[in-house]
Amino acid sequence: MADSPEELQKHMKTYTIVGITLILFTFITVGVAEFAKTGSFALDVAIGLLIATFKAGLVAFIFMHLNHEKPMIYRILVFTLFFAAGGMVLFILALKDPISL
Amino acid sequence: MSTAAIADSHAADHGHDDHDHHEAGFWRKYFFSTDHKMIGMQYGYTALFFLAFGFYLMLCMRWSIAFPGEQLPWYLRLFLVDKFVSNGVMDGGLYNMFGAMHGTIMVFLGIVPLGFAAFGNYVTPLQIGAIDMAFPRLNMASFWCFFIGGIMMLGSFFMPSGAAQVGWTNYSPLATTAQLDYPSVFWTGQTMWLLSMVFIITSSLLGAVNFIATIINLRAKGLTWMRLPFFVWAMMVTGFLLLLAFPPLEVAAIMQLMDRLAYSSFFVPQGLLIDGQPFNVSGGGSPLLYQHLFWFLAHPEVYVLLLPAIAIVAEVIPANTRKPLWGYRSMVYGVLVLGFLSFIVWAHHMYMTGMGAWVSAFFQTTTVLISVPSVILLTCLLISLWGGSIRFTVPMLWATAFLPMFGIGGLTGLPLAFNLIDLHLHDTYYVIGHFHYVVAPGVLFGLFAGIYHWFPKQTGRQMNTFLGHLHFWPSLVGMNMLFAPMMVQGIAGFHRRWYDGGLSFPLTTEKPLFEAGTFFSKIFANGEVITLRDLNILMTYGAGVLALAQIPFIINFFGSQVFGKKTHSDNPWKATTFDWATPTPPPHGNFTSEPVAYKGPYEYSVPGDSDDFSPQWEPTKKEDSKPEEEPALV
Amino acid sequence: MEIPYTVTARPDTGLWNAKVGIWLFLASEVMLFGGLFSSYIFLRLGADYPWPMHELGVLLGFINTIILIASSVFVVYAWVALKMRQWRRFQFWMALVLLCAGGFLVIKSFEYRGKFAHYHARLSDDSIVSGHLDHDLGKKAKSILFDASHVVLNASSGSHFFLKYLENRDDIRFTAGGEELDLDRAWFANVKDGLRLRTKADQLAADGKQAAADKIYQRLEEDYKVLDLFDGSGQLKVALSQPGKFVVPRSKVLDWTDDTLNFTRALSTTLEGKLESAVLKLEIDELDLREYLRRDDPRERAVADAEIFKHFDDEADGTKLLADFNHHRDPKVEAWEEAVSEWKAKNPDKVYEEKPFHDFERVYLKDLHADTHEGEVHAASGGGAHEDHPTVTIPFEEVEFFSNFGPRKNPFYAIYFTMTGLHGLHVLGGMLVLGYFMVRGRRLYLKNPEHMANRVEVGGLFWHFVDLVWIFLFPIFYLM
Repeated sequence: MADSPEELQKHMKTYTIVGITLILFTFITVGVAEFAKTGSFALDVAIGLLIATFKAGLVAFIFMHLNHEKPMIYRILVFTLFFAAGGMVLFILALKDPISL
Repeated sequence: MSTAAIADSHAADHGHDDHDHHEAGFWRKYFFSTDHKMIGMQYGYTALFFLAFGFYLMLCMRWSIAFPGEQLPWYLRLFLVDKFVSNGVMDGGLYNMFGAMHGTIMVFLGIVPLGFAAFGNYVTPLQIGAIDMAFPRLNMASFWCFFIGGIMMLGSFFMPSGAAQVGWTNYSPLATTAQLDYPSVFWTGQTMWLLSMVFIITSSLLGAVNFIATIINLRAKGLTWMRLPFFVWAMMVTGFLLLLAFPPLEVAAIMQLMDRLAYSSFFVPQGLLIDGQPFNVSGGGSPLLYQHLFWFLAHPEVYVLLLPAIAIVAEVIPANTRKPLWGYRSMVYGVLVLGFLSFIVWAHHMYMTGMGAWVSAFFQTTTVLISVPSVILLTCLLISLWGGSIRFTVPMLWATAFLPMFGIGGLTGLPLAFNLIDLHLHDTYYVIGHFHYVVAPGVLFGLFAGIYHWFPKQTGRQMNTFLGHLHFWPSLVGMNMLFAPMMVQGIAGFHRRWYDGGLSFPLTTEKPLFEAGTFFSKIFANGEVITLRDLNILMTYGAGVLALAQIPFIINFFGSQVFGKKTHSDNPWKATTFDWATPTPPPHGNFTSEPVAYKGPYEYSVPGDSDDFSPQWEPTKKEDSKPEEEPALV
Repeated sequence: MEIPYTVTARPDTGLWNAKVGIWLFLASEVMLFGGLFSSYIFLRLGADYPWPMHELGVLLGFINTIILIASSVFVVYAWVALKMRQWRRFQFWMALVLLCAGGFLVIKSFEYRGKFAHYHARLSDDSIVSGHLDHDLGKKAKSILFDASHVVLNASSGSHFFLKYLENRDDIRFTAGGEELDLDRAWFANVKDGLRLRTKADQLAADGKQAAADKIYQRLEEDYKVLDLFDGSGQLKVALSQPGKFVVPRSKVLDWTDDTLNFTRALSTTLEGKLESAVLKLEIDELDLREYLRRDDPRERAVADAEIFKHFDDEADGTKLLADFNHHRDPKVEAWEEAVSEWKAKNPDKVYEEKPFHDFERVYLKDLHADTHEGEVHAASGGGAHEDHPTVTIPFEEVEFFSNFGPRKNPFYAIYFTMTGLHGLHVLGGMLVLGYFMVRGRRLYLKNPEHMANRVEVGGLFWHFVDLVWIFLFPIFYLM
């Protein structure tokens, strides 16, 4: 990562913009959930989670510098996310198995 | 060569970490040490103690199974038992308690700390040429978390309620509602089990972070990934298993704690009755959720038990066959695939919960798949023996015996992978037999091999060979006497939780094994019929043999530290990995000069070489090939 | 002897140790919260009761989200300040981070307090009512009041814990067999020791070791005379010098009649005397008849027959509420109910499988506040009399289940408290670490500023992760 003062100043600007974006999207997610329901519950949930994922992505990639991390870190995280997501999917599948009693 | 001088001379550029304390006091040296070797030994001794204690619990249980209703013999009543039963006869409650604690202690406080934490701590940094773990103080914290967890687990025996009673799996809602009849639910064994699990899990997580970081970042110069000894690979995979599988169990433990202490209903369904009274919580939770969370950990946990042992065997075999490990690459990829698959097979422990066809098909498939890498590992080890000039040293004895024993354990697991067969075998002694073949003669034999193998490095003395044999052969016999009959009983339908050994189920248990007047009945029973239940007695004697066989080991282990034959070299087995490049015993900081790896880990009997082994730290002798000094990229 | 790569990165991996360490730790944290989120989904999809939606006050959660995001920004500012070697600026931003974190926890504690002071009760016919305890009675509003003249103690399982519920303990002397007893922990421990010794002696005598047994009997005679007070079944009836005013939370009582009260088996003590009252008094703010109607399969129950309407202190309140219900009935609901009964008439041999908890069933959930979340804010601010709230007095026999809005209420609240609680602990942990860097980091900063920057980066990564978790927690608990 570049450490020169100019670069860092630029980073500061990015961080500010990202912070404002995050707060903006918090307003949006509350606004959508409280005042602009689509009528379909599933769609509401999907929109809410989409916004949350976008926000989380901003935090992870900009604040946590995942946009330029070393391959080893990516490797670790890919497996972690795979297992976390896999666990979640299998939990749901176990509960809502299409062929079950 | 003075370690300290060399180390200090280049310590100047980042002299911040107050890590160097060469004149450590007694407490800092033996108790609050940050040296990976001392921590490894602390883990080792604690784990051996817990193994012995878990073994004692098992002896009491086996006695009750073989001789139901009879008083335990005096040597089993020396402590603990009298607190719970005044007449010295095991009852159902005590059996449940001992059973639950036997499982918990053996798995979480015995084998894992011995295999992963003790050997891992002692050997891994040595084998990768590091001076210590990446985070020494974290390492110490990890041990002390484990120690506190262990003490709490032991202490729970002395609470009014006694220790936890509902099996090492601690299934809800039984675990949620057990031992609630005490003035303080907090001070019950059931709650302590959960709390101490939180400590043990935390310890394992800290340990896992440390191991993986060490292996990634502290490898010696030139020690590229494919030059790592297999042991290090196995430790890394084990680390990942612990790191990623333990948190869900921590979740389960926290949720069950909430259920017990805050009366939430995570795992309590609606309309639960306790002794005919409605259980006064809201309900609406799911017992299945607990099982999912638990087995999400507990299946990888099986591999956490297994991998260190298999890795030790993989170190012992090349050193004693004087030929390279066969299929090193396949083994490495095998262990990686094994680690990956072990995360998605957990629900094969839950076939009996009435799961749907999709899930069941998925988990059957992955379970069958996971046998492929396991077989690759075992086959590679087996072929490694082929054509070697085998030295049957004591560690090699254990390592060799590991192969068939683990093979039996693994192969008997295959039927359990299939839903339909599992419905018949579930919760019978077949499962117990299968699991114990993997863990007792399998994993434990591997760990014993490790103890005999690295003992000379740690103490500078050899363990006695005669006592070693006296330890090995009866152990081998006792193990098989103990566990082989379980398979027979299990297929016949013996349930695993009968504290009277099936006395109350004569239709199943009194089926004849050998009819009256046949050969065996004449030898063992004066010509009378031998029933399936009589196998209980054989197994209990097997356990006795096993217990007696450990006496030479204890004598040997402690005696040899003082009286053992001194080793004359730092590398008594003439092995090739970095752990044998250090002085004996390794000082704080391990190496006398910066270690550099020039070659792969198992260069034995290289054609054209004068010696039959060619250590990693010695430059290749050929003129034209330049020794590689730069660490290659990952 | 130094562990390498604590400050500078290892050339081939490009990482320094702590960076690998923190990412590995975060990986395990991902699995921890992943497990919790999975549990949340599992509980929600498997719920056989209406999953509470929009029950938490959005405003406080919203403010907390903003606060955490701001703190996340400040952490990276602080890190940049260190990178530019500006110690004072680093301290300034870090102080702001800690301020935010502290604010987050304070707001959280207000939310928690509001829920702990808010109660609900499910009646025997599954009508559910929520509200606050009667303001004047306080704790007594959820307790059974009992005037005891005698206490029956149990030798083997008794304990002194029941004394916790005795209001006028200081004025009371306990007597049994003409002796005054000091019923404290030591007394009960003594009884249990004696019992254990006696069992041991009996066992010895049974084994034929009479001499050893006699020795113990002797000792029992001398030191454990108290055992003689207990009768054959191990019980001891103790008299109180004046009526003991017991205020026992319903959850500690197994059952009661007009002249006895049995504590739960954990306490295993019985009171004898006179029952003062066994009623729950609530100032209600919500009425939920969804379960009442759903549990009644052919849908024959009328709203007016619900048990709860019998328990209003002022009957007019109940009548008014009932009228409200009937007045505001949603035409959609009526159309739907008609369609259902038509379907049933056409298919008498089939089971009608309705979608559980249909959204417009919410019409049976009556919120008595103009403002939805006034209740929480009210309780959080310490409470005050609800002049305008109808009050109910429900005999405990009629109450099937009651609790505050804590983890006990249902798995939604349980997982809400577990997840936000764990998250709160993470915030607290992060505060400690970052606070330590701010206050005590100067020494390391002067010695090796890059090392200090690395530390802050690691602490910052943790802090961002905590923020990231909250970004998911907020919508799933507050919004959907």
